[in-house]
Amino acid sequence: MTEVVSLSGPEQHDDESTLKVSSNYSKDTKVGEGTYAVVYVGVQKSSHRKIAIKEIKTGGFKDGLDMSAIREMKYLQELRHVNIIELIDIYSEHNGLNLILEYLPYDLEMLIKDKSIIFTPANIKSWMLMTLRGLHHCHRNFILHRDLKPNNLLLSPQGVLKIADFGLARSLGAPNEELTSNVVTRWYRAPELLFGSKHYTGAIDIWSVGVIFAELMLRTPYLPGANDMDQLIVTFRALGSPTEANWTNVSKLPGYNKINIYPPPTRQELRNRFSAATESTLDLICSMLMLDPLKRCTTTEALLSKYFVESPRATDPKSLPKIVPKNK
Amino acid sequence: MGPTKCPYPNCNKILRKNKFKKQIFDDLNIEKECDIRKKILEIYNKQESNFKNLNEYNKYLEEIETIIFNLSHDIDIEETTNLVKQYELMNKELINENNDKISKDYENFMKRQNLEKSFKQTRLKLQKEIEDEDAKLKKLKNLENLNNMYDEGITKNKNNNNNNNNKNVLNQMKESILKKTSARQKQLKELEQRQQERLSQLTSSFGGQQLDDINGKLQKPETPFTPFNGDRVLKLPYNEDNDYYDPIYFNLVEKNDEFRASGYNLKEFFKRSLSEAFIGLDCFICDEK
Ligand SMILES: Nc1ncnc2c1ncn2[C@@H]1O[C@H](COP(=O)(O)OP(=O)(O)OP(=O)(O)O)[C@@H](O)[C@H]1O
Ligand SMILES: [Zn+2]
Repeated sequence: MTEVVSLSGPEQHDDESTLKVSSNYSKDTKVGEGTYAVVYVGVQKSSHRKIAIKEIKTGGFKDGLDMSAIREMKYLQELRHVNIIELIDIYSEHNGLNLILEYLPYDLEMLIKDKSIIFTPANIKSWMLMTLRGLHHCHRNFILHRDLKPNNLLLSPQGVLKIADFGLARSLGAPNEELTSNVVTRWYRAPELLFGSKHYTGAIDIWSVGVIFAELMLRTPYLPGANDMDQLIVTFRALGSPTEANWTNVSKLPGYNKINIYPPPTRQELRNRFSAATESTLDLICSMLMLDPLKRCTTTEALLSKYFVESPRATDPKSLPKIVPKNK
Repeated sequence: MGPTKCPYPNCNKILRKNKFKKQIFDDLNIEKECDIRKKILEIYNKQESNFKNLNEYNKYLEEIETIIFNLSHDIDIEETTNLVKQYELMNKELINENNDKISKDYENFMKRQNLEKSFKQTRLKLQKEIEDEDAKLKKLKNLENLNNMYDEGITKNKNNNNNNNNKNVLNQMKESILKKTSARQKQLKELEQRQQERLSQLTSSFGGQQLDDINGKLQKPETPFTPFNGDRVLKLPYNEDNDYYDPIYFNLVEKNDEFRASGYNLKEFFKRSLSEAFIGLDCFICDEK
């Protein structure tokens, strides 16, 4: 266990320092609860900066769940970027771990659901731009996020989007490693994951971003499968079924099945579905939602796409629509 | 807030707050004022571009309003009429020239409207046709899918000559539709180009700024867009060895089709290994189940 605690970087956190460190932060009200953590707001006493404290639920590290906490720490420490949540500090307390994170009062899901807020094409472009920049930083460090969804894209009071929740992240696998395909919240799961791939790449994150892009345009989830089987149907009904012709070797994936055959959507159908989208908007959505992961665009390609250059320009973060947090 | 001019040609009515108030309840005078306005504006027809600056133009507009107001309210009639006559004499040439331009602009305005209308109709028609062809294509693709499924069943029972024929027919139909659609798309593009050209010919005679210009200026960003926010590493801290070859990994990836289907890229993994070696990070979590 001491080994894990020493992960927290240059500062040493042995039992003595626990007191010292925890006295640096005040833990105030509880703001939320996830699968493996309870989140509080607090203040960094030295700077009066508002912070979030993520307290890992279970004590000890025998339990599989704690893997998430360790992952989150490991990767957040490696990744420093304006569009990735900042891990300010880590300290251990009563056998548990506390991650001190920058305070980010709301997330993209809350915005999507708040129908009193109107999204302009420039707003959507801004959120996509920030998401892709953050993800580009993950991928160039060979880190896969593996759980991108609107509720994990948090927003700062200044409107800056930050990728959060690295509890499922890991680095690109070696050929002799088998990764679990049971990652990513169902609606945002790439087709290779649905087919049980164990050697997937950053392309799974791009898929999730594509689905989020569509959701921002539609203001409703794009591929809301009711269960894993239904997810296959919903996905292929919208985007066409994979075949050996459009996705080489797809039938060799362990979970491949082809009970339903849907034709790919025509351009006109896509235009009708995304009625507000320009041609280059559609181009980008389509290239992020290519069934074959090798044909899907990379973060670099996405950022260089015409969509970001054509008018209107992405909204400046501070002018983006915001939500005033309720608990105050 | 300065005075605003009505956009209609020769109805240079100036919308000004203080004058508005007086006129609103003055019904009887309105008709008379309209006549007077019309006459006066045919004489006092200088445009903004005839002035050095906006201020002088505004003063001119103000002057016109006073004249109209005076004439329609029987104030200083004689003096004002003389003033107008004198102005007309002094500016005869410019007045005629401007009146010509104004009527030409009005003509252009009407032409523009008609042109836009007819272009819009053609565009809608083309779009509708493209949509119809799309629907047809979709039906064909469904048919093709069914055929393929059927094929798979047939192969098991041998003999699929008949179906090959079907396939050819389907392909021909598809091709012809695709050809039509792409021709229409080309037409659509040409149409838009033509419209742009035609419209740009119908510009104002007074050299004033066109609306399009103004919009263009407003939309021009202050700073250039940088996709990576100036944070793109093009040069890696280590030399990429493109010939790096690991026979064990290579064989593993080659032999198992799952890798291709998953989009796996061995080079990318080598890059990861190299970068980790360089940065001095070792993989903390290697056990994933
Ligand atoms: N940095 C932060 N600033 C403010 N609030 C936060 C922050 N991080 C998380 N929260 C709040 O705490 C809640 C729990 O967060 P957490 O990431 O642990 O779980 P989750 O994303 O909701 O669920 P899961 O862990 O199942 O994905 C979030 O929904 C959010 O409301
Ligand atoms: Zn989360």
